Amino acid sequence: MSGQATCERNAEGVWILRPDPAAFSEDPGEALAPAALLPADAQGKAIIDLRGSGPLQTLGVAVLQRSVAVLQARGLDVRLQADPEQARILRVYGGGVAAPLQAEHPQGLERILQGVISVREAALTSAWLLRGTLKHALVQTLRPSRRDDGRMLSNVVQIGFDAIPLVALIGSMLGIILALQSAPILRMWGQELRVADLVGLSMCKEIGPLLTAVLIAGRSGSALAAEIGTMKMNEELDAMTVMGLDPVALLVAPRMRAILLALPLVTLMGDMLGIMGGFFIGTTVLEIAPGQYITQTLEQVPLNDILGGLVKSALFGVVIITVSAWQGFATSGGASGVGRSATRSVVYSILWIIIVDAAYTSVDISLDL
Amino acid sequence: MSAGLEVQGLNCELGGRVVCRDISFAVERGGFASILGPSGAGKSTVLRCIAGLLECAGEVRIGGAVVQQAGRSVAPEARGLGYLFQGLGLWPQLSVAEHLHLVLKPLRLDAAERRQRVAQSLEPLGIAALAARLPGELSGGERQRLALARALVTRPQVLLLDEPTSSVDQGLKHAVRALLAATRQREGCTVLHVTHDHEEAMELADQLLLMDQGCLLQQGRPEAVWQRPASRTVARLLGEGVAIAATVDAQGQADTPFGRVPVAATEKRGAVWLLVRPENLRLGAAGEGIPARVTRMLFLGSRRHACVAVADVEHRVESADVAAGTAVWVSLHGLPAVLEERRG
Repeated sequence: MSGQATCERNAEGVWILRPDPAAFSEDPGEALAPAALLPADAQGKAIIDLRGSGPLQTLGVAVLQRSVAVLQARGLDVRLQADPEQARILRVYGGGVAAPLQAEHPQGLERILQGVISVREAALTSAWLLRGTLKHALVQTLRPSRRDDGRMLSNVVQIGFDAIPLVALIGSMLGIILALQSAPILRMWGQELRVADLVGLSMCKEIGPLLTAVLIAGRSGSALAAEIGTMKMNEELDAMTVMGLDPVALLVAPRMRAILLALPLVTLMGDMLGIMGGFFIGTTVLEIAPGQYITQTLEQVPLNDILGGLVKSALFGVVIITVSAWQGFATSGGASGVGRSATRSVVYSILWIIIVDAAYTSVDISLDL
Repeated sequence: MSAGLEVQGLNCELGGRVVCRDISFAVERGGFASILGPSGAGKSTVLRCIAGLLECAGEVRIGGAVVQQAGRSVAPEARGLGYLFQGLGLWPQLSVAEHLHLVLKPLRLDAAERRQRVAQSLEPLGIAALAARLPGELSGGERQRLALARALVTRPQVLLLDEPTSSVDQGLKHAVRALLAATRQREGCTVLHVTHDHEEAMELADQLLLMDQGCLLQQGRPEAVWQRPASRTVARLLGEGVAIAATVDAQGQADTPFGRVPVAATEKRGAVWLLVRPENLRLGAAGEGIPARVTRMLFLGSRRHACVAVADVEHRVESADVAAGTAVWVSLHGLPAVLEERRG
């Protein structure tokens, strides 16, 4: 319809005016104004369809205001059909010129299709990102350079070392809570000693890896998403791309290497401190002999279960970095967009951690059976 | 002579909205072209398409080699471009020298040559002494120089400059412009520059490209565009001047509110828009031109403009000193340019 103004009447008798885009670009004279399209004797309802006329400038808004005023003076009920950008401009600068119609929301099948497409895009982006990150992480590990290792080590400190106090505190508290909660039930059956099994197994297999991953997603995943998002807003990523530097290799891969090293180690520490929390309650409140508690734990918590938990935590690390980097690269909309990306990175990371956990546990259990 | 940069039928859509529509132009090797347009005209999008940062349709050639064509797109880093970003895009954790070393890394030069290149890039821009500083420790002008050094260190064939003076103050603007002109002479690369400042475009460019709402409105040498703007939009982008309604007769004379005057040679006849710039108007003795009243005086530093209202349009006239409210006679001189036919 570009360059062609049309005026038609639809089945319901509503006049649909589609003005020439030129009518809004500069002072077009009365002949081009939307009001001039309508026959002089037209009555009832008229819709001025602005979609396709491009973004409205100050003059465009003025032309529109004038046309609407002319048509309203002729007794017509005037409505505007605008694209979202035009609607925004009219809301801010239109001074209440005729109410825009509600934006058309996709319905039914179209909506489902759009959802499928966006899920597919997200999956493809994440897969591409994951592949690139793992590839570069592998290359950087096999061909170490001082700069890459320096970047990785500073990330190990940031992701792992700095998180130690928090993980230690929460891990030991959870051990204490688990022991206290389970003690009354086990005591009913005279099985107080089983507190050692329960705390040991649940910390190593489930709670330790899950809890540490959630904490690291909140601390380091959001930081990664915000950092990449800010770099995107500041055109730092574009500068890298134009100059042949791969942001995935420089920004994401070192963190992937760092998290693969740091997260299992911090998890292991969390597991141990959880067990120590249980030990503290077991030996004080439940009056189990320390030697007996330790022997029970060593017997009932096999190394395989501890290692399985650590493998799981490494998988969670992959999830955190991939999801956070994906959210960082997808940032748009300035400073508030960066905040949104950081929040989403945490929410999606936790969601995917739980999904991966469920899948891993199902596979693990079915193999055992 | 082959063109340093050729763009043919460039179209770009972002979020379902057409941002660039059928843009075609060529900049000769070693030439300096400026895209001039208001905010939101799609100027930066053209640069991003040329750099391969955005998906687009159309053809782009750099130094004769196709880098963008239907179904084929050369990676941004392989296009031989230097890019000065509007927000500079400096990496805050890297020092001045590290910026350049990192950019040179993909070229796999030996260490001595790399150091030499870095020194050669920093020296002419006067920031060699700051090599160990981080961007946060630099002044606005120094940051600008660092971004320029980074764009040039790979010795690109084409240099893209996105609003290089938008973030610096007025005093520094002139320094940055002088720096760009000197850089262009020294490096000999083809430059495509984007700005909304008509003075900057005229000062630097030997080819002007005027854009609005995603369309290329006019292109040519700055003098030619200045003398013959193709439309009122172009005239507005070039700064001072007011379009007035006039009628051109068969002899090429125009009937205007100022009377019948000769206009710049034109094919157009009938109802037209005529561009009246301050230099086209003169305050004269009684009986010369038409009577008007000075509405206000504008002090613009080296010159003064008197504002006079003629036929409900406010014009500016270059003038020594007249008090506001004085009755004057205004006449039209110097072959004003005919812009476009008047519709409606």
